[in-house]
Amino acid sequence: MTLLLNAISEAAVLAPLAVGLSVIYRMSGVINFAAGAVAITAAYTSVELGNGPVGVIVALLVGALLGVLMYATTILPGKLLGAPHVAMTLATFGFAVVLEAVGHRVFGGVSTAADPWLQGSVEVLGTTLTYQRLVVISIGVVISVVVILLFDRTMIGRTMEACAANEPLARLYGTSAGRYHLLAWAIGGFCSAATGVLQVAIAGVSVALSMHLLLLALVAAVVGGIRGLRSTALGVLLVAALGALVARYLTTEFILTPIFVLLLVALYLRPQGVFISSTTSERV
Amino acid sequence: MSFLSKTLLRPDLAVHVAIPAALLALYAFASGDSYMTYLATAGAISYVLTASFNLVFGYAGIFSLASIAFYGIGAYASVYAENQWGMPFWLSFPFAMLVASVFAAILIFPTSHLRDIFIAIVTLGFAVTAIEVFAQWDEVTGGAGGIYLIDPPSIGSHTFLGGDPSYLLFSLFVVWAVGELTWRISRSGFGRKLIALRETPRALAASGVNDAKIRFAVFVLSGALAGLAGALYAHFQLIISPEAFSISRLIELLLATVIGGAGTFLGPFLGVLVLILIDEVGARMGDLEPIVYGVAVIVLMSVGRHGVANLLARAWQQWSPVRPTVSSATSATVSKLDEEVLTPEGLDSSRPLLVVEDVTVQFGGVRAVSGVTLALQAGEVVGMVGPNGAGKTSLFNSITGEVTPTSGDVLFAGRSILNDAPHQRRKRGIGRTFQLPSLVPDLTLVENVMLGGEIRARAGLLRQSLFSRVARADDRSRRAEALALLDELGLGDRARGRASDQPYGVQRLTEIARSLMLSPALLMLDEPGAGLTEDERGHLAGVIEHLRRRHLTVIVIDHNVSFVASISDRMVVMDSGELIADGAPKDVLQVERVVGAYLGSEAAAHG
Repeated sequence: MTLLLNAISEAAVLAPLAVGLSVIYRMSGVINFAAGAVAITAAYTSVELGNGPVGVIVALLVGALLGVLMYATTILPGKLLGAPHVAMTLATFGFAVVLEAVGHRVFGGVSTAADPWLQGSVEVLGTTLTYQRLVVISIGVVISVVVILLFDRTMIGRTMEACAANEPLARLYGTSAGRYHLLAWAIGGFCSAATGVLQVAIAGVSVALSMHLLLLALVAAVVGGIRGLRSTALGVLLVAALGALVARYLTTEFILTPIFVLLLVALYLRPQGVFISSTTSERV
Repeated sequence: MSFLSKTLLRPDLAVHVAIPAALLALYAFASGDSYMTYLATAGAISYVLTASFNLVFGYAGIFSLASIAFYGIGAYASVYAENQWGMPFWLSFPFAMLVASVFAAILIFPTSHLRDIFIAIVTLGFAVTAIEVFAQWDEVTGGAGGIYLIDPPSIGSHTFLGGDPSYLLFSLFVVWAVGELTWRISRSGFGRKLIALRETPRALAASGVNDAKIRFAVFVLSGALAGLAGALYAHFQLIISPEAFSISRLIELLLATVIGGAGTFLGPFLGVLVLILIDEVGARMGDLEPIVYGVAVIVLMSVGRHGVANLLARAWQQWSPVRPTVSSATSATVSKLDEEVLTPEGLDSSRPLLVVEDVTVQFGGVRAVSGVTLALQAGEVVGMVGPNGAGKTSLFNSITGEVTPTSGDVLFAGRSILNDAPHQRRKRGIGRTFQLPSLVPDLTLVENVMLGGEIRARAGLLRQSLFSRVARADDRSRRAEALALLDELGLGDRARGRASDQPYGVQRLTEIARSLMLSPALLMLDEPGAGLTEDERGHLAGVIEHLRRRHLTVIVIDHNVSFVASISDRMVVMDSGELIADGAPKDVLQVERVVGAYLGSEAAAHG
């Protein structure tokens, strides 16, 4: 039961980050290597502001703003100059470096944790479940579900899909593609920030955690199938479950290694993603 | 080949003399002063690492972030082998290369056929995971504290102590070896294939080269060289800890490679110089340094792969337009070539060369090709017409292996080829061109055509990398053949121009020449006439007539019905995935459904 709870709360924390990666990949064809850094920056921001409702909301807005800033400074120039997607992906890596360095100057290099929002706990099937953890799980799930519904069920999502598939055509039909790119990056930044805030709410963060979080979310998205938001979310569950199992039965020192092995095996066996049932191999 | 090899460094001899001379001069200059010795040794090691990264990122265009991990693996592996097993350094260094290349192989094997962005993900993941392992695996890596007990390499009584001039000399020797190797690769068929992989992977497919294999080879080679750099580093510092293989080191490596000029021979040399300068400045910037580095990565990635070396090369080219001398084709090779192509091997003229049996190609709910049966006799020129979306290209793709048919069979020279990969079918003798031009822009026309001859190369990748005698001989005869073919198609005077500078029509014809290098029995041309001027189209008709005289079997897709009718012995018409007519051009043009497909059913009824 503890195992299950650990897996679920890990998944709830990671899910927004992975969904944000998937949103940006679907829209811009770019993998956002700075997502982890955005998460950590948001976490520090929230803690700096007391981690109350105000702090959390400001932190989420900072995340969205960073997403927009990243699109404007890192993606747009490359796009105008005709840089390939993979080059822009590396450019986001540069953004991550800058963001981490700036964060280091502003917040200092120490790791941080926050006071819980709620005290108390409840017994569930013989395991103690703190209210804090329950809230964190709920927030992670709600944000992920809302973003998934926004993309898969609304006109905004369909328009974004149209821009992603054929931007010149979408423009021809009067869509302001630039605005939708901005929206996607804002949502991507917002999602990353959500993961950062949730992470600091149950465990604490340090600068070194940014690459760690990024890798977990990246593996989840790729293993699940980064083209789809729901498959990405399922991938998060898979990664969280594996992480919890390994921590319980194998080792607590090597967290990323088994996850990385999962990535290699999954790419070999099902390159399109475990939870995508398409017959066309998108990645070839 | 890059600008550099054509201009700055054209004479081979200059490199063989200039590089060792420069390295010796560096040694003479630096060995007197201990700080300069230190700096030069660090620079030499950086060069080896940067050169390894340049191979995979610069030449092959693979966005790999794992080099830093291979560097670390090499460092730890060499030290572990010495400390635990008592290996001498001349064994532990190769061991480090081996271990790093094995990891590289494990990493690239599942990903070599995936899109480039997934290689970026996997390699970043590997770099991050490796840092975790270096920091946690106490028994092997000494954990976060690292390893302090590293014996300096020694031969007999002489010890190469890191920081001493003797270790600098040893490092410079490695620099020379690695530089020589990359020079040879950049000159060889392997180098051309790497550039094709970077610029136009489709050109490799058209040449019967397995791109996944090239990607695998260069990745593993680069891993081995990074491992070598790591072993050098460990024995230079005599202390290793995880920080040396961190993400920030990776950023520096990326910057050095791109600023120096990715995909050029001189790039890593210049990149290391730039890096040393940046480091000197960076030491004064304090914690601003990562910000400057990060901004530099963003800018350079957005702008593209033009570094210092490329700028220099461009300037040089404008100042002195040097034309590379190419050993000219002798008349003897030309006539030999003609004979070779006249008699494709193992052909039985009594049965059809190609048989397409009831082939259906389905994409989801769309049936692109529906139960097509077609036979081509050896030596025939067949024209294929049909409206857009009729399934012509899909049928081509199912024959050449780019698409697997949902049902049906394809027989070539009497045997089914459905289980062969596209590059294997090219080897069997099916050449093709694509609708979109697929020349490598950075190579000259003759180099592009030479790619088509790679499948007959006697030297494997290893000997090509070393540019051995056999590889050079291969290269010479291939070049002669390619020149002869270009001459035959009337492009001889343009052979040495860069592909990207040529008019569209010349590019299309060059693709045909490249396909002919495969010595195909069957040549499949997908809209070779699209976008050509009237003159160029006339030239194309002449070329196809020439192919007929060579007794090549040719099938041509084109939209210009009169053009197709004028060049072909037989015409086939497709519409909505079906073959609706097959016969002599003048008969086919009378068929009601053909007229209907082109002009609408009413016109057919009235006609």
